Amino acid sequence: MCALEQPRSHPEKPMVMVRNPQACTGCLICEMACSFHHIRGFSRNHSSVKVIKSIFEPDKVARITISYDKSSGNPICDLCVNENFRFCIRFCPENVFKLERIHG
Amino acid sequence: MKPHYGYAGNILRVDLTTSRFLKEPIDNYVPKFLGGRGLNQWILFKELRPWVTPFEPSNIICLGAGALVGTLVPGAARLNIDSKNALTAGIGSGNAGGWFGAEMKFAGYDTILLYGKAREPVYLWIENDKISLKSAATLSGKTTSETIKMIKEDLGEDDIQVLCIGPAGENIARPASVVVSGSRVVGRCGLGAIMGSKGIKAIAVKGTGIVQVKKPDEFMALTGKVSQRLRALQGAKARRQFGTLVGSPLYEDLSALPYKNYQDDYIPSENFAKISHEVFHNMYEVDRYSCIACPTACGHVYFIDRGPYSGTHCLKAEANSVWNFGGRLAIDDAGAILKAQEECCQLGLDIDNTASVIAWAIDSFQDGMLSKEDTDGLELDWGDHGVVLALLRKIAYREGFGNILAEGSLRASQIVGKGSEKYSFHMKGQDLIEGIRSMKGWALGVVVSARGGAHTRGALATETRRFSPEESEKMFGVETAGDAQAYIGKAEIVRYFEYVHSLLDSLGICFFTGNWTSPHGISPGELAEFYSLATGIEISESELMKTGERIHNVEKMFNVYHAGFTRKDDYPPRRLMEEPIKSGPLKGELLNQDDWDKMLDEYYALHGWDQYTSWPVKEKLEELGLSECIEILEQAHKIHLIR
Repeated sequence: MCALEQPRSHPEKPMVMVRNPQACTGCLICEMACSFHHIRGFSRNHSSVKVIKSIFEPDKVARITISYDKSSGNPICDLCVNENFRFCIRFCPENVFKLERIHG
Repeated sequence: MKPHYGYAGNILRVDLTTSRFLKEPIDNYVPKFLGGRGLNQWILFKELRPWVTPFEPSNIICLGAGALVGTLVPGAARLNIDSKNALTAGIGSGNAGGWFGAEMKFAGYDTILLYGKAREPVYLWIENDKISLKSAATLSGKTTSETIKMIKEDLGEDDIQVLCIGPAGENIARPASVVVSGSRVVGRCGLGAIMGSKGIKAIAVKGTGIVQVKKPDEFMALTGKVSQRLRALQGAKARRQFGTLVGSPLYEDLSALPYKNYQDDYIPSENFAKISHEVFHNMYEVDRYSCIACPTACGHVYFIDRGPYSGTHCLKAEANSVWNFGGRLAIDDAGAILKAQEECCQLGLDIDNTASVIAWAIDSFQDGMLSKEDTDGLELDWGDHGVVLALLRKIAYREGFGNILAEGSLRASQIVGKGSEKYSFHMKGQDLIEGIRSMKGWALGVVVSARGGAHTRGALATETRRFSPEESEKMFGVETAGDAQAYIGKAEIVRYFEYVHSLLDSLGICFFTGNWTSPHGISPGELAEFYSLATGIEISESELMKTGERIHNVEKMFNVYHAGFTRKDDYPPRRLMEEPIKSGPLKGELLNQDDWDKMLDEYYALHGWDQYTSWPVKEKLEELGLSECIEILEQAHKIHLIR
């Protein structure tokens, strides 16, 4: 992306970040809540958040990714534009997500 | 096709004999039977004839994801499996959480029905519209976690959900279970053995579809509100930290943990201290997990890092693990309990039915009815976990003495004879595991349960959770919900929970997010709201409770039609009415015959069932919109024409 395309008035870009993946229990509430924002229905496939947690590998921390570009094929996180709150942050029972301002 | 809200919209019929598949819209069955258990049991009642035995190809297995599964209603994760009971010949029914039910709905199916019998071992692979039966030849004899791993490799898919049976199910051992998503188990009623008898090792599913709801924003607002409330509850916080193990002390405090096969209902306190929830938590816990859509996360993973079983991961331990292995078999080592639990999960054995038949064997051995010649040279004694583990394998593979144990305690005692029948504690033919002498409402719910024992129908948790008289009065119209020793009022509360649990099982919601253990759980009124908002089918609280009653009556009718159970089958084992509890806070308690009679009279009257036979009467079935069943029951001479 060309640097000029960055909105100059927002030098700090807010992003939903995965704060503590080790707390993730794999309930997939974030995926379903995210899909609700995108399609007003529930689906694991229409979510910007993807959680992979295997109970067979308890030593491994859950892998949680949030789509910020098109490469994954999932809808891109738009920070829940036009909603009253961010669904993943609001609904996650373990407070895994948080909003951060990223310099860039 | 019109869009479905709440529901995925389809029932999938799979004929294993001919490898044919049929998709049918769900509309013929809802909202009358809701989905999940209600729909499953209606199909069984309509399609299964009483002369079919459990392991025949003509038996049917119904797997139903509840109506609200696939949405964000807290705890909406449950998959109900129903079939003819391998132990009682009445209804066989159980459910489990995990992620499988939701995946089924995302793939487009509310219910899967399995008919017939495969010629060679197979597994069913469902990827949205694409359905196929694949060879399970290489999966034969594999443990449940091996099976899941191999299926994922075979399909080249990692993010799929699998339910499967272990060697126990393949060998048609009656205590065999169905293991869902690797760690959640549909244990009782021998459903794993029935899957084994049909030659189906597993079902794998991947769904990329959407579960729509009719009024999304209102639905989500209610979900958020209820979820917030549930997370703040004391019980939820405790289960989050310790899992359902945290419930055991509540039962210990009321002398309700059977010890050494009901020789007592209280685990000696020095033994209990070694297997308390804190021991499991502090010494062995390494991880937590949650079923889909559940804010509580009561799943805990343990790792045994010391002792003879060190190096073993255990994917779950429940209150039942302590009741069964710690109490019933008197194992006072948390590591050994975890090992036994994990072994059962891997072999596909139900911990309840399995521990119970082993308890029968130890008791009979100690009393001289069994000798080392009968037990393949094993010396059976209380608390000997090495022997218990050896027996688990023997049961799963039906080896030697295990071949007898694999029949369940009632049949095993009939094979052995010599008076060993008195050590078999069962309800309607299926093993009893609950301590029932001290808590009267819990006892009534367990004993009258249609599937044969088990506390997942009307059994109250209000006694262990000590509901206050005010809470009790408000919820049930009687004050005694929290008073364990009271017989009065308990029939009413059992009836209430029978209806509510019919609803929860049919909507696919966990009892722990419902109002079973806390008056602040999801109420029937909220269930009605959730259902109406999700499906667009407006239903009031009273209509929904009527639906719960209807589903409960269908289950009852199945038992009457298939097994002919009557009032005499609604009595606890004789010994629990004659021998009092020997120790603990409620020492001296037993179930009194006269009080039990009165409680049963009241219970049948509340249901509108006949007092002498316990069967539903014609007027009741008409009132519930089940007129078409009357003819079927009349032909079988199993209904009362005049009340």
